[in-house]
Amino acid sequence: MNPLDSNLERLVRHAEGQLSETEADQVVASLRHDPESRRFLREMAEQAVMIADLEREIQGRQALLHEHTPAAPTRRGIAGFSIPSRRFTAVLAVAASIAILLSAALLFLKFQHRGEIATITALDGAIQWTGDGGQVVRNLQVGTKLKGGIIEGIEPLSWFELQFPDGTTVAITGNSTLTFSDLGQKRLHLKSGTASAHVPPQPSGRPLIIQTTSALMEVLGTQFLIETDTSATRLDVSEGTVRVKRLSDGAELDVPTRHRVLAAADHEFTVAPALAPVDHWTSRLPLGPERSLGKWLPPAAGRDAALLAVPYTTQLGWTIFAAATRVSKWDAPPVTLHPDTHLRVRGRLGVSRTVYFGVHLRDAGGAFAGRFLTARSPYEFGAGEVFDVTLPIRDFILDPDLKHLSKKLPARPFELTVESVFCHTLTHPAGLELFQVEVIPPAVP
Amino acid sequence: MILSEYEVLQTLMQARVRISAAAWLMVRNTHAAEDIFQNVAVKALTRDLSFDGRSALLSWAFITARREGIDWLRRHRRETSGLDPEIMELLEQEWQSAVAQPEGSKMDALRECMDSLPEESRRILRLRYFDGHNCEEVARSMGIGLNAIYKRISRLHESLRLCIDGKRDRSGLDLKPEAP
Repeated sequence: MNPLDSNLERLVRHAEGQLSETEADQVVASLRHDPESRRFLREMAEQAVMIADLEREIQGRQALLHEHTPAAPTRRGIAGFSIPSRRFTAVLAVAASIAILLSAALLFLKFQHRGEIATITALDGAIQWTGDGGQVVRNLQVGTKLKGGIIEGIEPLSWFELQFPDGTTVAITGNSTLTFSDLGQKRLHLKSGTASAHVPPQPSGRPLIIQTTSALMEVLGTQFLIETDTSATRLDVSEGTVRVKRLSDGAELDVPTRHRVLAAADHEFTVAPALAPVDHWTSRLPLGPERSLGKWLPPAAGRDAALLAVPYTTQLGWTIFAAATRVSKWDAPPVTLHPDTHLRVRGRLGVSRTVYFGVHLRDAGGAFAGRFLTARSPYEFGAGEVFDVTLPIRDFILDPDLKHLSKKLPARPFELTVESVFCHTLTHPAGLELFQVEVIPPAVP
Repeated sequence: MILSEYEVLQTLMQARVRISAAAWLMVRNTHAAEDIFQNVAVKALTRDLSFDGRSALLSWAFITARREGIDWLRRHRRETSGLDPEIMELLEQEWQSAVAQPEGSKMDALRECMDSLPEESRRILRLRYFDGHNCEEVARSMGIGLNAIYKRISRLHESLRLCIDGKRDRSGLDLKPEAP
């Protein structure tokens, strides 16, 4: 046998832990003095890692290509790996925030002049500001002062909060578009999406004005949540009073504390009490993909309806594969979490990967209340097999991406309303599908 | 100079394969090695740590990965404790001092080199490094003797190295790995 071959073979056996004590001592001596042997060992280890990476990539691609013919299950002769207590998304999230920081200095220079009317007090995900004669700025950060303009959430998970000098705060979530100005009277135009606001008493005769395509609202001092699309505006007032004018016929209503209204040309225009919260919820994916993130796959013979995770690229170019479903909708009671609530998720993975499960929350006033999550190890998910996990809400932690807002956001996800439930894998497609999501209430003693 | 968060992340990601490889030499499981790297990265960014330069960061990262590897072995009651600590330190030093070449280009080269391997060779590597079988299980699964598997694997690694080096060396020929 070629001596080189023999040496390399012994190194492989050593890396396997399959040498006798005497042989191992010889190999260690060789490694101590022979840089070429060490080079081979390093190369072998690097190749092992990269081969696994490549295989994940291949299997993930196959899982996506054959959406409903997941890759054949592979036998895993590996002992289970414990559930990580931390999650790598933190790295991605920090990475994304760093990208924002990098361009901050330039932004500050641009905004050091008069005319600024509001300051960004919180943000998460990608947002974009258009103003100042059409200037478009995407890399915004907390503390940036803005002149009037259009602010847009450009990712499904975006969140952004703006504060005016009088303490008025306005937040938008998801793919929402808000135009704002303040020429002695604050004016907001919510073109689409969801916005919440906390408005201190406004100057007499100059209420804050919010316009949508279907309604005009005057606010003197209050807290509320608005959702709008092209044909309807839904308003939930948690504190104070909001005057709403339906644009289709000019009808007006005052909406008091803990009341709501739907302003749409094809809907009765009446004030109704706010819906009492509930503590249980079950997804209805077979009915369609309403307000969800992911590719909706209708039910078919022998297969449940599913949401297939879709790629979502952060600003640094990292890609996660995410699916999310809206939980609390305007036409249904808000769903509230308690310490003993559980989240049950049924789905399938094409390949075994770590899966991250999370909830987006809002508080009683409709304001963003954080994103909490937990992770489960790849060893809990067989390739191509249906999984069914029940996750205690107590295990969910505030997304490390939001660490800088930890003083502003609740520390635990309890007694808050679930906006949506999401899950995702990292880096490589894994053919993640969601079949059903349930919020399970605490057991009755 | 204290590294910014961005520089910490950038440095770790540039050294991802090397740190994961060091972890693999401890745990001999590519998926566990990936999790170990992720834990290292999360610790670097979420704990109140500061690093005075890239060398300090990499040194900390390799040591942390080794400790994570030892923890993993302990949790999984593995009989072995990985490589000899002195050898591990030597390897880590060499990994740290190696001129950092973009790992992406190495991955691309490996992808091409793997594509040119016979299916049987690819299967051996897949069984060993992705499915997590040890050489004995791979030998059984392939119906080949254990010694032959050791030989095949060592030759495959060496031929892949030559192929990767060839592809990365733009002035050289586009070498293909030889099928062992």
